[in-house]
Amino acid sequence: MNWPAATSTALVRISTTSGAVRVVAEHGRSEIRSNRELVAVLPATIDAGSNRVECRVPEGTDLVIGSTSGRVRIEGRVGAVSVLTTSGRISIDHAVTVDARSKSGRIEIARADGECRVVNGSGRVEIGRCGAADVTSTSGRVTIGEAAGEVRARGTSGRIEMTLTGAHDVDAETVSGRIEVVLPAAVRPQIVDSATEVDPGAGDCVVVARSTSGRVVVTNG
Amino acid sequence: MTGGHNVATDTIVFTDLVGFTEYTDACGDTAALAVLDQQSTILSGALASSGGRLVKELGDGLMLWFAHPTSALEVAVSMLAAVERARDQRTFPLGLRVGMHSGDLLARGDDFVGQTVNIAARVVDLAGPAELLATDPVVAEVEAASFQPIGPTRVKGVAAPVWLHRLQTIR
Repeated sequence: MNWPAATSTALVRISTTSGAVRVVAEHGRSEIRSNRELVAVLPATIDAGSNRVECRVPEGTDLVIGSTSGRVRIEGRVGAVSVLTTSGRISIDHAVTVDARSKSGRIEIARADGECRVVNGSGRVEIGRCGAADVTSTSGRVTIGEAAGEVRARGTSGRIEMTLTGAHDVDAETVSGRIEVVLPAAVRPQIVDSATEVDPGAGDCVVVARSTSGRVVVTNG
Repeated sequence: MTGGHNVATDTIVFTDLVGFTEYTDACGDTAALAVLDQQSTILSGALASSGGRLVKELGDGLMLWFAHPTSALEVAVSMLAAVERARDQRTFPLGLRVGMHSGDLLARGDDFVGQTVNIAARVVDLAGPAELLATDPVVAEVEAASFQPIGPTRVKGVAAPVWLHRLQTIR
């Protein structure tokens, strides 16, 4: 097993089936506790099956979490976080980077300083603030409140809405869902659809918007 | 030999075209068939001289067999790259995603059965377009690539969690 080196203070891996996972990152905390027990060996692996896990970690801790149907809740500021569920709801307060995937669980990410990668089936996705974003949704609605970097969005039938904070490139594609892109008022994008080619330097940023039968709407906010 | 079947430790790859059902609904059967034909052409080019083979087509998905995860990874990456090139040139409308797993296989005619197949089939479900996800046994065997762990998932009938990794780079 080749695990990458932890990029921050620690790496914690948690696996449950139906058990809910709650991770609380606390400023000033130096040790990790899982269900009140001290975790002495790092990186830590916690396999809780159907039991509930409550883990208290230092701020900036990297996390890898998987659950079948249990809810995953991450509170406070963590480092790089990856969460995988089948149907369990995922909610993340604040992470450096996020990789969140679910087949049908709702995904809520309040803030990701860096890249936010989301793959979802039918559950709704809500991202408050993020850097770059790479979001794929089959039928669930996707909302990105503020993206401060490039955004790639792939939808099938679900609606995708995003607001960008600057002149960042967007690559948005949908089969039958609607995509709405809101850019800052002063930004003049070069909009490329299925019938046109990119003309380098023709706009402040490039918005590639392709749809088979859905609508793609690009506006200035 | 077990019950007349060959048992071996091999690698199974599943692929899936993201949004194929909706594309068929929007564009019709003829357009969908053209996509599948184009995928077959891409597969043929990638599979040539790899030693692997197409086990079966599952609608828009493919099940592939390889003797070693390295050759499986090379073919999968080649397919992903070919699809992305075609998408950039606007000659292919959908994204491809890939999942792979290595383990013991039971041959049944030209097909394979067993938990290795079941696990590989589940892995692809959690990949996004242009992504390749793999399990621990693949990551442990392939030295020429780097992977990022994305978490454990559960597969019906498998007691232990199956850890998934996202392909980052190939050296």
